[in-house]
Amino acid sequence: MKTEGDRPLDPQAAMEFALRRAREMGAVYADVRFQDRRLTLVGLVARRPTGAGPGAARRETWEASRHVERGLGVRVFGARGGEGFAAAGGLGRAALAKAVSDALSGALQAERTAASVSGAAALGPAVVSTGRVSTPRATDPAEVDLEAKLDILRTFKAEAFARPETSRVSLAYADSTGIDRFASTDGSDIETDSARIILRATVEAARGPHVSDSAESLGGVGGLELLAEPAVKSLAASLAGAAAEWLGAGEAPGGEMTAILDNQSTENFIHEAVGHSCEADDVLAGASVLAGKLGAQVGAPGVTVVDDPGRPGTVGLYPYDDEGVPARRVTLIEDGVLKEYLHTRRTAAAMGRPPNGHARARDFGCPPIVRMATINLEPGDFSLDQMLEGVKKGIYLMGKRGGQVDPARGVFQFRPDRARLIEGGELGRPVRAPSLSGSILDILQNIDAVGCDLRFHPGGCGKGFPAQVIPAGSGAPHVRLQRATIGGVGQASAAEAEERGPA
Amino acid sequence: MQDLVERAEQAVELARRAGADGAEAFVLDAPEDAVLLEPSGAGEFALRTANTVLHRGLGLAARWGRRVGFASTTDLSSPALAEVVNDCRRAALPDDPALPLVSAGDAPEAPGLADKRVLEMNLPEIVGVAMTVGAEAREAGVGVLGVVATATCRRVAIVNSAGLVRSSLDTRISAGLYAMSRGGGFAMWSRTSRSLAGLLALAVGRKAAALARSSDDARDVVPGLQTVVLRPDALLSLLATSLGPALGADRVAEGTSLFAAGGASPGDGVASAILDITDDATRPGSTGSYLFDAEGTAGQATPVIRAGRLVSLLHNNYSAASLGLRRSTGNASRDRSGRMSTFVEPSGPFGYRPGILPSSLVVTSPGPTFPDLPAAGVDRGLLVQDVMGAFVIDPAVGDFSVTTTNAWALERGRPAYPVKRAMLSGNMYSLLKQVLALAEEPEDVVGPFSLVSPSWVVADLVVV
Repeated sequence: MKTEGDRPLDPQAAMEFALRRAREMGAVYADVRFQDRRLTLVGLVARRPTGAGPGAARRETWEASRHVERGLGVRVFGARGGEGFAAAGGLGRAALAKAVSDALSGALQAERTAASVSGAAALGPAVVSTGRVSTPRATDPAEVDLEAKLDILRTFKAEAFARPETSRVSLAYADSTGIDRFASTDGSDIETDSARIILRATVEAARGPHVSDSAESLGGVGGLELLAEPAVKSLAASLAGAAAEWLGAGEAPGGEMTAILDNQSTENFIHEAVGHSCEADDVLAGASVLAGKLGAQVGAPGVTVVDDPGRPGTVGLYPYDDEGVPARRVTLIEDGVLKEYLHTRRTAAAMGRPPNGHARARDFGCPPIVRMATINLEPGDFSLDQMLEGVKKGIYLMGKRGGQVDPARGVFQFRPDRARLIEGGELGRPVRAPSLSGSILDILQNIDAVGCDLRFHPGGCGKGFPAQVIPAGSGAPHVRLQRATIGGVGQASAAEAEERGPA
Repeated sequence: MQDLVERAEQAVELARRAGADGAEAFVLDAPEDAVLLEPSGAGEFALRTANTVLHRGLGLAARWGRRVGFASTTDLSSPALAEVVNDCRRAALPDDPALPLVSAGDAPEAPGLADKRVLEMNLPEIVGVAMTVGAEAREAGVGVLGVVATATCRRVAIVNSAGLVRSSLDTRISAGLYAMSRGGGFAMWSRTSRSLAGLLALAVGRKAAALARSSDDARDVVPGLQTVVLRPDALLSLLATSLGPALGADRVAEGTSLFAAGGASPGDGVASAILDITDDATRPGSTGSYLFDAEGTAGQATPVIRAGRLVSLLHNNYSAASLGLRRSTGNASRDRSGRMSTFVEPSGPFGYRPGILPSSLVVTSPGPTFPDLPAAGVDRGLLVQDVMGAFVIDPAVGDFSVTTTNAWALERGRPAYPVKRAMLSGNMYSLLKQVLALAEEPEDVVGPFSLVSPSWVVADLVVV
């Protein structure tokens, strides 16, 4: 059944074969990305019947799985700048040749519809990167057996169920270890050996008819040391405490009001409102409200936003991007002034800028596109107490559940994990989490206080067509926003919501 | 197709040789051709990218005694299949029931899910589809920021050690564009069909243009409690992360559905009495239909809500076996949506054990469905085309706080003027009970599952 054509080559030979084939078929530039990674996933849902005490029997569902993600993606550029991409799941010559042919077919088709562009100019100056790099880790997840990973979840579960209100614990653990190789006809030849580890946790509390939950993630690029027992226990206690405290929380008010965002809410807001709007592919397509605004004051003084793929420990860390460009820290907004966009080589060339290492692909099967790595708002001088001073009525948004943005329209929204009312300059009662929605250009000007407490958290991001979901880090201190639009269920003022009491 | 079946058979056989008492292999090969056009000057489009994205791999579940393991690989070579069996055994944990397998039974009949034209399409033809869609929008007088088109031929094979061998071939083609009109109106609009003719009949470019133009000169929304009309796109956004997953018996069992722990059970009123909802995987040509589900059970039609009462949950083979039911409802799904995400994940559905999702939720009414909003008795209110931010709804709770994309204030049941972004807040399970009427023509819209529904007229939603 097997033919010579589909007998797997070794990775080095496969990459050389694909690059050679691309050149022979007329590509003026080609790159290949070979990936050989192992994933381990563990899931747990543990439930205690509503109203039962701490000693009640629990029902548990455990799942574990292992995955091999191995294959090769090839991208080519034609003589007039057309770009095409295809991938091969195996390393046989026939599969590799088909991938090259499909990619080139896309590039040539692009050239039939586009104005003539020099193939070399499409990507800007050649980038030649070589080397072998490893991301730091103390305990490599690949060298730890499954039982040790189950223990991390057991530790979390025990700590969370120590709270009598805890009714359910849902945990998802994932680690990914292995190599990513990149080679190009420019002469790049890079091998990155990396490990990434994440624990996503949701703790639910129940009392009578009331149910509340709280969720957060822990982890980054590194080893099992990122999920050390004290950190896991601390997260479990924190989420269990929050879920219990928010039981019976009242409805949040709706409408325009002052909002203070904690670290995670701010980083979610910055990711959606600033990060996506600074992606140069959307900027070039005229699909970002920040297009054409380099040098303009787009935010309040004191607002400085950077994206740094080199931020140690974060989930968005990488030494080279998926075009072989050394990753570097980019200041997007400095003291409210828009300074730079995030670029692939192609978008950088189109805008006459140097590439800045923000081309990322979900895996070998997808082409690289402009992405964030780890975005953060730089810290200011304010403490939370100072931010609260003078806020007669408002809302405090905490944690993150996710967000969405339409960069072209300049509209974003995100949902925190939970919220509290602010009254008379103090934090008040818990309320159910409302979303915050706004116009990007308005709301960046409405930040009137930036906190001094910068923290980072893991997260993820989906973009592209077809969608590519990737890990992305973010960080921020607290901020205070004036005239934030809050999607609570009532038109009631904060005070009225307070009086109405729990639902 | 035989190549995929052979790979699946090989994996099951390797598991058997490794001492497994039972095994099931799922293989997917679904290359997706995707093109992106951008404007290139007066009335022209340039092809920005043309990619073939790989969705290919094998997932294997196997049982050793009471221990069940799961593993996957994107590499379908023989050494990789041996590796996946080894990984499967290393990941095995106690489970109950331990890997119930779908029996062979009769092969289901194909409900017309593959279109010969799409199967034979080459890249220039896909580009042609995108050009057509873009030209439609431009002829309708709007600017176009970008046009996308994709075509997928999806081949699936499932083999298990109980003798089941299933394979299927289906097609999907989609197009979407981002339109901007001179008055500042925006629209992002896309549609998916099984067939090329079906997609072209949807006139994606013209509809996007009309949507953008009707959103010109938007005004601020009037906040307060309002009658809100949710078009099918908005409904699917909201239902995809609430009712859809909540109907899964797996979520009920683990307590992550509203219908768990006394929230509601079959026979209870969970929705307005004017709602009938059926999950139907057998509609010919529908985007949500399938020959068999992700475990090999034939697609079926299952009434889930009748006159507002919950009549059935949805099952895969595992949940059916857990509850001692005679058979699954054929709703096993390996879609990643609705699962807790770490963002460190397998690259395709072959990397997930089967969960439960609807195929197509078909919404009808035991009473009348009205041709338009005035006929349904709508006077003032808000008409909502779609919303953003619904993906964070927790199906166990149902609270939502979302932002409209295209929306219009209604007067005498007709759009009076477009409104700028408005926020809708409430609870999905309360919303289900607040549905006053169904109106306008049903549409078939696609997300993690398909929704076939008219618009819903909903009483007293909070608009901010």
